[in-house]
Amino acid sequence: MESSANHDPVVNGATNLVANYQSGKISRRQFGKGLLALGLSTGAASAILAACGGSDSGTSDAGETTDTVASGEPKVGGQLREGYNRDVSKHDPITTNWYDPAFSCIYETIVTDDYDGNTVPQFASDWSVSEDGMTYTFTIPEGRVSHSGGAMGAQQVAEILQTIKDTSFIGGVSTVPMEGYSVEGNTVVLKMKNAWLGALNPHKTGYWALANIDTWKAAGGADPSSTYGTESADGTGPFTHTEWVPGSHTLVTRWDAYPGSNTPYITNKGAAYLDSVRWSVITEAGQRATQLESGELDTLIGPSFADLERLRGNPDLTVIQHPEWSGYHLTMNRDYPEFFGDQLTRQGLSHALNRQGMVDAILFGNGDPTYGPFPKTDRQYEPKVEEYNQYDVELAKSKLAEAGWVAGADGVLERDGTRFEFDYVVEDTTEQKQVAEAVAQQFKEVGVIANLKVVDRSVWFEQASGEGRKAAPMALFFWLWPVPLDILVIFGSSETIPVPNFSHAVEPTIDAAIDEWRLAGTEEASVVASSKFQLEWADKLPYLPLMNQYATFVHQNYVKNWQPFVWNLYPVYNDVWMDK
Amino acid sequence: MNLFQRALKNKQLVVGSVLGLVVLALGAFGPLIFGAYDTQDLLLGHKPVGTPGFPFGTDALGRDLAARATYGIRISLFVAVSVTAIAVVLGTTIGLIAGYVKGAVDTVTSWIVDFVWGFPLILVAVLAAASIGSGLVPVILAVGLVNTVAIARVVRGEVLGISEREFVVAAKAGGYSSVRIVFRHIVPNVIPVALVLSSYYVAVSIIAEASLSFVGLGAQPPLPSLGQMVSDGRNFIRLNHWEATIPGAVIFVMVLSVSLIGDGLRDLLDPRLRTAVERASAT
Amino acid sequence: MSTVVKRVLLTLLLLQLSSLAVFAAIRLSGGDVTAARLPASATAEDRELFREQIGLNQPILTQYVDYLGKVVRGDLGNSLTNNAKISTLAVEKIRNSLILGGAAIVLVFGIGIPLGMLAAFRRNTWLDTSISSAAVAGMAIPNFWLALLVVWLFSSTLGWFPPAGAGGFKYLVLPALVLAAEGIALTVRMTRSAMLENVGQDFVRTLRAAGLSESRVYFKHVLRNSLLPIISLAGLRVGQIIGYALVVETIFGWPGVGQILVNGVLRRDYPIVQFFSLLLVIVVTLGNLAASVGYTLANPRLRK
Repeated sequence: MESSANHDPVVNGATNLVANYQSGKISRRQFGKGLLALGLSTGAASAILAACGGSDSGTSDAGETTDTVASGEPKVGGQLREGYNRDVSKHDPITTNWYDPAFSCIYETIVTDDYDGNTVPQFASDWSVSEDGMTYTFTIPEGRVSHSGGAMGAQQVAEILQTIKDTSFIGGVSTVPMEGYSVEGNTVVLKMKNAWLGALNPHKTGYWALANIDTWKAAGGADPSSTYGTESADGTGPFTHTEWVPGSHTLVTRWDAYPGSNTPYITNKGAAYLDSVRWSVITEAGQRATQLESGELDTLIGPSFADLERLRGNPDLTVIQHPEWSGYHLTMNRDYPEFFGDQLTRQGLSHALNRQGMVDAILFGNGDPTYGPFPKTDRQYEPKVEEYNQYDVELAKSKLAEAGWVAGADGVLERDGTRFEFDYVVEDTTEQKQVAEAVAQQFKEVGVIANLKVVDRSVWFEQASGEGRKAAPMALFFWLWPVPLDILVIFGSSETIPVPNFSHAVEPTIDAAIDEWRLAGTEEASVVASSKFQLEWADKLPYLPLMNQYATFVHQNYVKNWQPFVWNLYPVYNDVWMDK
Repeated sequence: MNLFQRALKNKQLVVGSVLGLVVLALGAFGPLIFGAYDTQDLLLGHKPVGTPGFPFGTDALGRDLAARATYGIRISLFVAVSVTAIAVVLGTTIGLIAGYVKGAVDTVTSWIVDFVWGFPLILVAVLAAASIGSGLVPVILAVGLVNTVAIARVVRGEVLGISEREFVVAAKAGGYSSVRIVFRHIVPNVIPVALVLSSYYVAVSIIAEASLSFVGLGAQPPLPSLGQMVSDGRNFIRLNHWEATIPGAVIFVMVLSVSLIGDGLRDLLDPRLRTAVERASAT
Repeated sequence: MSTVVKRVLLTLLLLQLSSLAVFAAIRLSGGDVTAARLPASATAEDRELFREQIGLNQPILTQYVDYLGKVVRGDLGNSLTNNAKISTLAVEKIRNSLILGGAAIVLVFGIGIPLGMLAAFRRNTWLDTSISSAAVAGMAIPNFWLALLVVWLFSSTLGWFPPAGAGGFKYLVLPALVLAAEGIALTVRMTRSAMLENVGQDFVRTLRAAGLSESRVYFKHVLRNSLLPIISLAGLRVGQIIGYALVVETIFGWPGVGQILVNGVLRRDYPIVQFFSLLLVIVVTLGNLAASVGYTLANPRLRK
């Protein structure tokens, strides 16, 4: 890690982008995308810097003590029955829009995060980055094959990575500064167009999982009719794709030929202990915990918060919780300037919201109120944002009055003949609906009417993402990102209107803070810029921040080493065993 | 014995009417007694039945379940009555025409009936909601459409039967106009069927509206639809089951009361209707 | 003969119209199909490309003709959400739904007919009153609420059955029971009234006069005359069960046709909606047909 700690490629990256833009080598759009790519990663990059510099003491877990790291000799055998709170997605890194836990069984990534968020090898046996940040070199072990027996040498790895970079929708945003991959001996070399500290972050996700490129192509590649990821999936991970039934379950079984992981913190250096892992899709939130308690399941991803207190009190179960890179935000479409055009009105609305009350009532306290863009647990979190947006109904009313809103006959605010009443779209899930209802009622108390439209996801997206006034005046959205990237800049940058800057907000001071942040050469400068970004956001309010929630996992005590942590979405299944 | 005395002796009718009056009273006065259905108190959270000030407890947002459930009765009855009014009037008319005119009209009507009949209600409702926007209107239209078709089917069958009875045949032979025959001879015989069917379809509509709002179609929050309350409450069934059991019980009692009244009416007006109605309810 | 042919042709035409109606309606019903398939970060260009790939920029009629062409060649297409082959999915989902629906039908008649007979045989006793009252209640109980109650009681509290999912027999019990509940109640009532209707008929008096025991009269002769119309209505029960299955499968996470169709509609997964809704329409139409034929055959008064 020494190699990546002592230079400031973000400066180079942004400088190069600016130079290219000014000299006309790239379009405005590409420039925007490039900045996005840098911005996407900066927070995490700084976090990694911090971790390498030893400034922090690892992850800030929500404080559950666990006995999951097992002592004693692991037992081999058994099927791990895991409850999963989403429907299964296809096991193709390139054309999926979400990666399931099965990905971390079937596939390996070239590098990964350790418990402290440091980059460590996974499929690669070693990796390094050049002094100027322009070249990453991954050493590929000799003689590895995928489940199908196909070769997985440097050639194949370079080819799948290149295919991901060129094809993947997810890759789209983060690949802009990447030139491409090539093979040099037993290494794969990633050349950058501009140095970018975050280049490795997408490589740690399931979207960049190393599939066997020949199998992928033979099954149909990226064509909509491809059978890859549904009928077959071919990786180098410790388990093989066995059954995949949307709406029901996924099954993977142990690959006996697995040679063991190159990742230092994965202790099992051979084939998996478990015979198989089976994920049951349980979309009814209220039923997940019951299945675990009755012994139908060994482990559970995402129990309902309503059940947590009971689960915590169960001596046979262990609850693991850590902060999640997620959050609830309200968009305020600026193309409705009569409502959201002025800062005073936005601030007035913000002060009307009791965020802590919503965390307690809806998340049962399993989350934090947010007063700015970042979750409280982010390493660059600026606590001064809490001076903004605090719950204060009187202040809310006075700000709205100051903005020129006057209560009409029925108590609803009016200004220049416009009644403060607008449509407000929300996706039909229990929590989102509750948040939306709680918010609407609090607005009503200050004389603002938000008419809820509860719709399914496809309609929500259509109504939230339109241009101009095609997008709804207000939408509740919940974001969850699988990797520790600060993606919020893409919601706030003026470059990304209308998607994903759903608010269509152009805030020069926020843009400037983002630019400064992207250009920050040192950890200190990055923190300063990030603080500005957060404070500008909290003040100008491109969105109304609401709250974030904790990622929650529960397992039977006989399951050992099932240890999801803040840097990875899922546990490391190769180490898991059951003491039944 | 006059009709009223007979009605008083009819246990189903009496029990059903008493339950119905209780429900109506709750719907009429509940919201006045318990206050606004959308007043929330985030600090309160889930509270069980018998909490001081909240006889039915509160939901996740600390809202009064008594206020919400009683208001939900209004929504439920509003939908059921408007749906049934549409369906009985349209369905009876269509059934009358198809059954009496016969021929091409009947054939085309049967096609349409078969066509609509093939679609599950939820699919019709989803498509209606998706094309004209969410809310109560698409639910009323979807349930109304499906029920119209069902009623038209039953009425058509009845009309076919009546048309072959002696008095109709005689009237036709006597050269009376079709309009006269329909209104003097057929309609009076169809009315009892339509009446009994109405009570049955009020029950069907209450359940249909509740089922659709359970899956997220229908009244938009914060309007408290009973089905949606059950749906919201199901996630907290282990924590505070009242949030799901109370609105569900209200639906149950409403439907029960309407069904009992329907059964009672049927026995009272014409026991022979039993078969026709049971055939209809089998569908 | 020609009427049968006409009837079949007509049914085929109706199904064709139904499929076109669903095809057009789901496409015209708003919503952004890319939301289910593409990540939030996908750009407008990515989204347009995807729509182009699946042919959504063509006129609806062209899309429909293309679709029919593919179906004729045996290609049902893929899910837009996760790319699963619909032909593969269909086998799994239909199998699961048949298991659940079959179990429900067995319960409807297996419980409904004996209870109805019992009520008729012991008419106007406390047994008849309780069975008949339970049947009235059973018809009034909304099935989604019943689902919650049985999960709460048998799963959360007693721990006898799992609350959701599919696997062995124990996963089947609760959803099948809930799915069957209203049908059981209705069958009880129909059986009871059909038997009581037959009891008053001349042949029963003759049999009694001939010295046959009361139970023999009931369970052999009256039953035989009462059952046929009830069972012949099984076709209609199929349609009803399918309607309820849409909700029940979703609540119990039973991976059948109802569940995939509801999710498909919500995600605007056009190929899924097209195939599975048409499947349901076919089954319901055939069920209705069977019922009307069966009922006419079983009911001499209607056989004119």
